[in-house]
Amino acid sequence: MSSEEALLGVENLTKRFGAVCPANGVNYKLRENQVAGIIGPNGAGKTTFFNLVTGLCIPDSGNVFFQGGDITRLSPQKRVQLGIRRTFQLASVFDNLCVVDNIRVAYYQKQRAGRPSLGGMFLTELVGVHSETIDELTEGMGFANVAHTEAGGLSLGNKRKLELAMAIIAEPKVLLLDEPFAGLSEMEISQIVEMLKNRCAGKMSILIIEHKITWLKDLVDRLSVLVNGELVADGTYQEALESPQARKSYWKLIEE
Amino acid sequence: MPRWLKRYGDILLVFGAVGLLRLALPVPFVIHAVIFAIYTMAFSFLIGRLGLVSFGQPVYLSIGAYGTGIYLARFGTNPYAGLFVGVVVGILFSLLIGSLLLRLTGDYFALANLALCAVGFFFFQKALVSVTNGDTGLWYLARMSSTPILNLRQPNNVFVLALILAVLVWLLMKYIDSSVYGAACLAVKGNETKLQLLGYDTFGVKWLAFVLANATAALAGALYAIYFGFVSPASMELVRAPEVIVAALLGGAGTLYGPLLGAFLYIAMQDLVSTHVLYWELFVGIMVVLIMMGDEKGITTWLKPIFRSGWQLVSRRPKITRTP
Amino acid sequence: MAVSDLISTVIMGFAVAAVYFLLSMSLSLCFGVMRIVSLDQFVYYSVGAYMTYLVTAHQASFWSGLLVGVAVSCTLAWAIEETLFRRLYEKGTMFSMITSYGILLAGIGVIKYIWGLVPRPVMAPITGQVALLGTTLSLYRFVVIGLSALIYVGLQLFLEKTIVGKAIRAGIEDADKTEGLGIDIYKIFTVTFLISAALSALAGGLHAPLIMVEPEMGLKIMGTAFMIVIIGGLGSIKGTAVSSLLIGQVVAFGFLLWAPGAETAPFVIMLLVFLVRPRGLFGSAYLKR
Ligand SMILES: Nc1ncnc2c1ncn2[C@@H]1O[C@H](COP(=O)(O)OP(=O)(O)OP(=O)(O)O)[C@@H](O)[C@H]1O
Ligand SMILES: [Mg+2]
Repeated sequence: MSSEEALLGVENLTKRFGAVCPANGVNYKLRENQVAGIIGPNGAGKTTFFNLVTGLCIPDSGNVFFQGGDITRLSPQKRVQLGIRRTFQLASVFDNLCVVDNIRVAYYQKQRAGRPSLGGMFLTELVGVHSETIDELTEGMGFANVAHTEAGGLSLGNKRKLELAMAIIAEPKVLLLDEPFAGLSEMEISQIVEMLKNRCAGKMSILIIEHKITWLKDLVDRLSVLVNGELVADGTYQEALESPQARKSYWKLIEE
Repeated sequence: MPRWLKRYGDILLVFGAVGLLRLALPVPFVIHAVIFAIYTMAFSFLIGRLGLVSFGQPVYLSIGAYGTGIYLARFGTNPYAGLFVGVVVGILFSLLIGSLLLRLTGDYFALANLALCAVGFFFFQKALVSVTNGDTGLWYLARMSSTPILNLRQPNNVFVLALILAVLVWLLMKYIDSSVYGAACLAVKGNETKLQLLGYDTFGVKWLAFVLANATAALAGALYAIYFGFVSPASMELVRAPEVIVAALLGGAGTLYGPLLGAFLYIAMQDLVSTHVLYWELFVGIMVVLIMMGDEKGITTWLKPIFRSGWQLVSRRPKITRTP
Repeated sequence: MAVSDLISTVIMGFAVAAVYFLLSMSLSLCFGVMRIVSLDQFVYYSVGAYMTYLVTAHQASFWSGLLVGVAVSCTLAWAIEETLFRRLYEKGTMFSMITSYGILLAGIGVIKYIWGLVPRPVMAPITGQVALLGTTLSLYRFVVIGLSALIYVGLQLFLEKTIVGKAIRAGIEDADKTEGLGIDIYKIFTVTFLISAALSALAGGLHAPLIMVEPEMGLKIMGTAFMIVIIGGLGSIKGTAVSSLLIGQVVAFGFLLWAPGAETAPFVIMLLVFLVRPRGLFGSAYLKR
């Protein structure tokens, strides 16, 4: 796979925080419309990997590529404008805005071709930001009843769904999901899985960090295992889980 | 009920009440309170909408006052032009200061503003004494002679002007609340990183808000300058920094009516206290502590439901409100 | 510029730095451990100064005045911490900042009520002069510098060697985790608050002979003290020490060269530091909140 055909790629990405090294020469390439999973023990550096890709953290060395261009030094905001969107391990929404307004703020950016200008924002009425997608999404996510309550009062499951809705409404090219299933009930998880399959698969590349591995089985076409900042396995779901290195370092199993 | 009345009915109500107060209460009090309300609205916007706490608001007020004062004392005789100069100086100043201080996170921002206030006071009192006359201040009431519309040497006319400007500022705040920009401001307060990761220029959002708010503070300062006909560094003393904070929190920060209510209550209390008590710091200090034991929304938390149900009674139709 | 001027200015700078250090240290400790901005420290500073005034005015020794100041301030601080700050630790810094401003104002009101507006002089306990390279310097300044240095060393030892000190340092790193270790974090908070108040009172008492004691002395020094804390980085002990030394010299030389510069230069330095390091020289990006 050359870096031309990869949508998103990182090369030799390294980041240290004192003694811990959550990214130690990581090479990874994500193809267009690929749905990939990343698993790994706690503290392996999965979230750090997302932070490096989205620009919340600057790598000590190595590069990040997107659509063939080097984006290592771009600000987080610029990367989002290019079409990289993420969700956070701790669901991150605007607690002080109501649910639709959260979605409107996310959608408005898309409406303005990714670069909302101050003047435009000032002159646009918030209720004027609407579209079928917004209605459909609020409906489909089951937000109809809570549409006008403050997001801070939502349950964790609803917050995650809201954050996801805010990410996919902008139709990003790459969607990075940090443990989207954590703390959710089976039903909520299957709702999210359905939504990802119906709405996003085939339209964007998706990268999912998850500890609930079995849920990834039907969802991903590729799975990688990250341990101590290094990719120890990469392949299909089966391959990754059965690879000796992964079993050794992730499951602490030694093949006899 | 016609649409415009539904939309702007509250403004008629509120400012109509202010107009009536003018008939019932002494003019100096009402003028003072209306100008102070403009100042409070600006601060309340910053703290309630952006989550920016500034301890240096007197600086922005005084910059406007001095802009107007110096113009009227040394250059022109038209107070309207003076007002304009004050606001423009306020805009330029806050553009500059905003670009430096807004890079700071919350605590640093508040404290840096406090330092700015200390330095500003010193500048106007000592360093620029040749321009500002130091503690003596600049006096120019008699010079404000060319007044095309309202003669602003008369308090009654200052009241009319101040009220009109207060309405405009209030409308601006109300408008911002309904715009995407207003939502972005709230979003900055709630979760700035997230907004950045939605592709917004959060610095720009904050910068514009900072300039809008502090230009409004400068406008209030300019109005004071015209009303009193003189300016002195006393308006910039650090002890005065909490005034506007108390007023805003008293009425409820980030609410629309709160600043008006807070400003009137505060000025009323200050007038009462300063005539009866020698050391008003003690009083204000205790007030601040008591208010802070409550929460950010002040007394409007329990006034709002009353207002709302009253309004629904009048408009006879349940209003679907967007949560602020 | 004569060498003698230079020397007396440098010594003056160190003396000023010594006072600034004590005061900024207390602000920095409060922020570092409790994540509060404690403007009421300036009340303890004023109380420290007024107590030395009161005690020396009654012909007792300056040093006992200093101790009385520390005792009164600590009592006051303890009462305030118990009744007010306890309710604020869980809220944002905005709350502590505004509340403590209220306390500061109320304190100024009380001081004005008791002692009036007239500035009061305090005699230095040591009137001796030392001759140094052709200039005579007041011995008291050296005493202030020495005492402050001693306190710095003592504080470092306390933080590094004692259990409570270690707990405080752990609290600076991460209050939540410290609590998780089974340490009663609120006890630590109280101790830190009292230490801070004592430092502020000492700063006030030692500063008194160098300036006039007046009701608004706390407000006068507030701007500079906070600039020092900000330049050093909120919550950093080392940063506070370094920036007090820096600003002390800047202020002293400011007075020598161009008086307005003494008041503005710290501010300019602060802005310059911000351009390079928005969290101050030694401020940590990882401090929570
Ligand atoms: N900003 C930071 N400063 C210091 N250390 C950090 C920082 N961010 C991450 N780390 C450290 O890097 C290591 C990897 O963290 P990371 O959050 O990437 O792990 P993770 O794989 O996402 O784990 P989890 O499954 O628990 O979410 C951890 O030891 C963490 O403490
Ligand atoms: Mg993680």
